[in-house]
Amino acid sequence: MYFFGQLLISGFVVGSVYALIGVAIVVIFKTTDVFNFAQGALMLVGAYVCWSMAAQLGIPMLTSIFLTMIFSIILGLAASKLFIQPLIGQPILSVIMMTLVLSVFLENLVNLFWGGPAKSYPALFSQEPVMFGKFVLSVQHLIVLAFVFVILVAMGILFKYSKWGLQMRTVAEDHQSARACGLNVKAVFILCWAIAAVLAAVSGILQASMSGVDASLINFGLKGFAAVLLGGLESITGAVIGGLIIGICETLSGGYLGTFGGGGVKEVVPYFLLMLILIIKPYGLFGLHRIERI
Amino acid sequence: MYDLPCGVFNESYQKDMAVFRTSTHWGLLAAFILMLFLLPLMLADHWIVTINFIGITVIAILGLNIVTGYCGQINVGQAAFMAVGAYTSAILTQKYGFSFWVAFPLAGLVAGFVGMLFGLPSLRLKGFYIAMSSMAAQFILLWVILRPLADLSGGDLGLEVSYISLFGVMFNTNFKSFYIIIPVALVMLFFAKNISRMRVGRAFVAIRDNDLAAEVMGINIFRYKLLAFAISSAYAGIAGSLLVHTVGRASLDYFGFMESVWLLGMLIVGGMGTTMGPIFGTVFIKVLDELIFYLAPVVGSVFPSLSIKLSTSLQPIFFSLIVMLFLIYEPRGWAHRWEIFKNYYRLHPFSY
Repeated sequence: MYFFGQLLISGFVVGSVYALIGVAIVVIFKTTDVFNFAQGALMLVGAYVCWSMAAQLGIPMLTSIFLTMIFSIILGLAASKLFIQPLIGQPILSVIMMTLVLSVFLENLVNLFWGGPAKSYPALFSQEPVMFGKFVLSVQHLIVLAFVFVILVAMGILFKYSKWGLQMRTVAEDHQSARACGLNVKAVFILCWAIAAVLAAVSGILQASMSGVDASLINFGLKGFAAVLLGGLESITGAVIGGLIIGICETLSGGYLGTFGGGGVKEVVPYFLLMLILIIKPYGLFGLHRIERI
Repeated sequence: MYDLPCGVFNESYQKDMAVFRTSTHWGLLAAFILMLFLLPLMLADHWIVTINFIGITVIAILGLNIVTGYCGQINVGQAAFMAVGAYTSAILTQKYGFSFWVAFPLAGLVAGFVGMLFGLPSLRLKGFYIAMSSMAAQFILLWVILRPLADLSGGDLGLEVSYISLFGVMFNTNFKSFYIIIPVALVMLFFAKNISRMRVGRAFVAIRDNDLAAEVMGINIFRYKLLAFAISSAYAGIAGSLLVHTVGRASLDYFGFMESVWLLGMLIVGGMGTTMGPIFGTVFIKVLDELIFYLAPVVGSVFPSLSIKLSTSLQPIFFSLIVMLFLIYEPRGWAHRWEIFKNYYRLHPFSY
């Protein structure tokens, strides 16, 4: 029971990172109808840029996080302006392919500049263990959880109460009618990409602060898709819950099924869940079931 | 929309349906095939390897073209289906002592069946969701081969595979494998072209263009989608089997997620939903790859600090840039350019 509880808690921490990634993917999908396969690559870039500034250039950690945020905003702007906007009106495969090759592009640029073995991250928070009854968590994990919670609440407020959020929801509803209302749809697209890039950088930095930074960070972006589909493509709440479920399932399978089928089952559990959800409940837990008419 | 060459009139249905209409076409085809088969006599070994890989890749992409280009179902897991075929024939020949010529078609069949399995979600889904299902297939299949089947597949170490032998001749050099790969590729090309013209192929195109309308017209969408997945994966399986038997080694390195992206990228560069597209795309990207291979040391001498990583990173960077440019400026790929060019010279002096 103790083991189970401990796994549950660490699964919660892993899942909260997936939740952040999932939210970013949903924000982009809802407003722009683009499935962003490059989320993991954006994460990677954010984590490495921050690492580079803090460890190589010796900028204080908080300043370099702040600078990374600004860099990510610019990256998001550039990505949407240069690569995604020319594809408006193109079939879905073109857009999927564009984000896939964008991911390849960014991954290899990162490899070119910072490639090599995993690098340890400068200590963001203290790693001191904290006891909860019997369960152990480090301060770092708690802060990551708190961070994710704050960001998710902030995103919720942004969506629900701010003018930008209202614009984004309008565009999500229908591009043409949003345009008819006098909204600048392209500006909203860019805004979404900037938000997603910032979320990516945050999740990248948080994850890297726990596990060090290397190229495998990019797989989080793909697993984030499992979280999003589990929760339903259109739902931010769904992405959060899906992320937590995926994270918990991953650590539980790592703990209990460690040697099942020769090991490594932990890495593919998200994809098994993905297949399962696609077959059983394709539109996810909170997704919209679309009805089509000719 | 294309124009017929001057002086050619399709006077019978047979003539209208023919792939090669005129005697000039047939002559050019014969000359091309003759040239192709004489090519290895003139080329350096390095380029024969390149052409062999082009041949294998073309087979995999022809399959991908059927499911993604004609049927419109996005498949980002083609390399994993290649792995299924590759390991099927590797295990059958190495562990159970089958001859390559038995294992080869079986590799296609098994891969086709597995592909159909991962096409099952297409019962209720389409578009992006199918892409996700094939992405899941990519990771699940590779894991299954690597871990639960480790006893058979050799796990991380891979598997030594015997070369192809036919009538006592071992096809163990690049020069010899050329004469296995290219005929197989030509046969597969022939089938791919004709599948796209048959009832099945027309049903695929109908599903791609509008699935609801296709269903209203009486096309059993689910059946045809599964069929598209099966054919596509069978092509991949054949390609995978050829690959491991010419390289002499089965390893998962050839079948990663990035390989799937590359296959899709080559298809886009060549032109989806055309027969020539896969060939144009593969040749273009692979030849460019070779040039970049020579370029890497030059760039490395300019930026010495990057030189070690250039050899691995420069090719993907160029590749992704090229696919991006094609997606933005010529989403219909080289095949479309080729059509434009043909129309141009057919009407040459009077281009109205």
